[in-house]
Amino acid sequence: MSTAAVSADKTTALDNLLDRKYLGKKDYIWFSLTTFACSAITGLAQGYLLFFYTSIMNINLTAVGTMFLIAKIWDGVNDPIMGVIVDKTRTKMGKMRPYLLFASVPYAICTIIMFINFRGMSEGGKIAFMYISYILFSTIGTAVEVPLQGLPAVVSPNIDERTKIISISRILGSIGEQSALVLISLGLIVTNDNYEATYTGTAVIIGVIAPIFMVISALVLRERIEPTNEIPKWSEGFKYLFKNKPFLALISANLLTFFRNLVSAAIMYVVCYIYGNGSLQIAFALPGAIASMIGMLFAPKLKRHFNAKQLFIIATIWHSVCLAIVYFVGMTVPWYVIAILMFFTMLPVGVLNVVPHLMAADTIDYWEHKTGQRQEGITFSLMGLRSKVSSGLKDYFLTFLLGYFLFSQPLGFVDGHEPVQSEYTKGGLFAIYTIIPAVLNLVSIVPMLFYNLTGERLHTIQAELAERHEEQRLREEAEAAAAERVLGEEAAADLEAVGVDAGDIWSDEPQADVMTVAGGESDEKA
Amino acid sequence: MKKLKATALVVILVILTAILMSCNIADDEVTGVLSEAISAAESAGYSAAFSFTHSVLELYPGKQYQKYHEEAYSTDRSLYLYSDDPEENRALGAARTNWDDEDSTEWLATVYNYNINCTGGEYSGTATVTRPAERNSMGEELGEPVTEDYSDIGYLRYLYNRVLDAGSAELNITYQGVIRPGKRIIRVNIESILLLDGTNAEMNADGSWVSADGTVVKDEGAEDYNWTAGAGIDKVVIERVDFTIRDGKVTGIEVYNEHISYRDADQRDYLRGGRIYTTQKAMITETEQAVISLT
Repeated sequence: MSTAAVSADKTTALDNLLDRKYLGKKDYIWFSLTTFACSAITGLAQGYLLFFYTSIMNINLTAVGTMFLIAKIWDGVNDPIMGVIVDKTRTKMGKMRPYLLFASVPYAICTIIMFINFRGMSEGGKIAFMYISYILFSTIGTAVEVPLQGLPAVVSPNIDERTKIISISRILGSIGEQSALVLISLGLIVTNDNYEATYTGTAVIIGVIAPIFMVISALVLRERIEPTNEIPKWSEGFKYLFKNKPFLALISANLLTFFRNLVSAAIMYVVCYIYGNGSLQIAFALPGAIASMIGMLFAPKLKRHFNAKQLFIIATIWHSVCLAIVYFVGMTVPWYVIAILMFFTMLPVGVLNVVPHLMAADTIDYWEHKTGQRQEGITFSLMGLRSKVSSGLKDYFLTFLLGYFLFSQPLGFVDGHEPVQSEYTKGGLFAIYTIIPAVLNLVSIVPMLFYNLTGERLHTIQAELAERHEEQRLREEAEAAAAERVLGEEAAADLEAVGVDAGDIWSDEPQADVMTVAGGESDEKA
Repeated sequence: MKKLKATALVVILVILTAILMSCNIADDEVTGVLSEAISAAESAGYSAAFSFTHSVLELYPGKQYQKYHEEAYSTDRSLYLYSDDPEENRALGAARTNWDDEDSTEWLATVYNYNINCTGGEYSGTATVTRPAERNSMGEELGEPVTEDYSDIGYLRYLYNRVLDAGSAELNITYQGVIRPGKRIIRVNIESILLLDGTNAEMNADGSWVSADGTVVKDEGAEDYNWTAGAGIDKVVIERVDFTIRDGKVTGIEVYNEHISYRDADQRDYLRGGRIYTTQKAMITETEQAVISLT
């Protein structure tokens, strides 16, 4: 056989390895339901805890605000720590699933406890309870969320499958975030407006269902890409960010997308102060949310025609162009015209929500290819941290812009106060909603230009990694079989020494313990 | 290379800071700039056709009684108050007063239409006022809205004097001046407190407000007012006037004033299953608004 023919055969074999399917329906279902459950908890805590603390537990607003600030700072610290812990973990179950399995129940218990108004506590006792329960909730939440976000990168080496599982799970996640709203609305009807019972009841429902999904998911899913032999050091958390250049480019680009978040943050200001009707918020937010989900749904299909970098750039430009169109249409048109236009504007946002996670998985492959280390934990904890930093930057920038456009603040002592804004301020609010993110959003493309894990390079990296994983699997299988043989021979020798024939005991060949390295369809059947 | 990057970063930060600082008119220059811009506009002369709208929140007691009476008798366990005794709830529920209720309150607007010319500082022109029709306690109109001539055309002169009258202790006037592409905007905020005895509270140097008998009606640094202290507060008036200045002259004025009073309103008690009781709340009871273009 010629060298060219051998090379072609090898390429075909590697392509077959890359195209191999690993995930079954149950993987998609349980992982997505787990994301749904996790988002339901996050949605409940983020949307309703402030009200619970201030209006139901009657805790001073300043004390609550201070606690949230401290918890946020602690979150920034514990995210990378958890990332390193995950990457240092080596168990038979893998490095992610044990946390999902064992932290999910405490996480759910914390969620429920947080929403119980224990009677008879002093003011100081309430504040202490708030600090302990929330920081515990936040810490255990990190132990669940970091591995959960890292799972798609290890459940399958197949890029199409990763794209699909991330897209589906993020759609379910978006729906999950709203489940608390639905449950609380229903609860208020059922309990005749009993807020305390409704909030606690909602936390109990979510807290009971969520760990069921998480535990089943931890048992059903398999980490098919084994952790690498080398265990990362504690000091490698942030250093990794700067050593892994594609990841640095990705996280820089992703960090700058906080400008995009101005759009959703400005909705409230636009409906209240330009259209003078706060209840329109749902009419503006819902089409955008649906469009975003459609975008997520189409992300896997688009991924077949474009690489992740191209998708990021195309979606960013699409979003910016649409926002600019909305700006030039103007704020004097009826509100529904803007709401409809925003539907098309938000379509690419769904794609932009999925693509960075796919790219993060690619950077993990790149790093393994380069150094022999896989660091899903650190990667996704830094992605999570990025999201929190982006949120903080967005809030800061929004505050700056509101000041720049002379926004008149509502009076704190007048319930529901919505002061009429000047014409200049209204124009500014519409600009914050449209043209400002349209222009600044484009800045996120700049770091992305330095991202080079695309096309043939990525294909080569992933093909070589697949080959390595396959070799490792075969080697481990052979080693396991050899170990079994040695054990069998030793046992047979022992039996012979006492006068028993080994053939009487073993009627079949001993089975090799199949490792979960790139197990493929056979794993699924097993 | 690292040194070059650090220098570039510092230069960018300095430029950004300089740009941001140049966006503001210095505090000690704001009143001067405003005064000169008003004088320049008056000297150059202008025309202004605009409406000044004064809206007042009215509560119709008959309509509200009917609403809550029907509501209290329609169910055995009213959400109103804490008692589970339907009779007690009916009595209290029907008698409750709620200025927050949109069904039995209404904003009634009196509109002043001005058509003014200013030449060399002298004002001329016409004005009309349209008053809403009178209502009975059920909120039914008893006639038609009335439009009549309004003899006082000095509104703009009054406004200029008010925003520059920083010497009175009865007014807390603050200024904010910004420079924006092609224009300057000066925002004037005026706070004043009218007491129930008809007098105005005065602001001390420390920022607290006191009535004539020394009662503190607003504490130093506080956001809310001591509504019931001493004779009590009738209303707090918060005025906001934005002047747009182009080429050194005032070319546009936006007025938005709010009068805040302390009135009976519903409150939910979340510790008692979200049940409702009556409390007093600060709420907007009057607004004044005008968008004026000087041409």
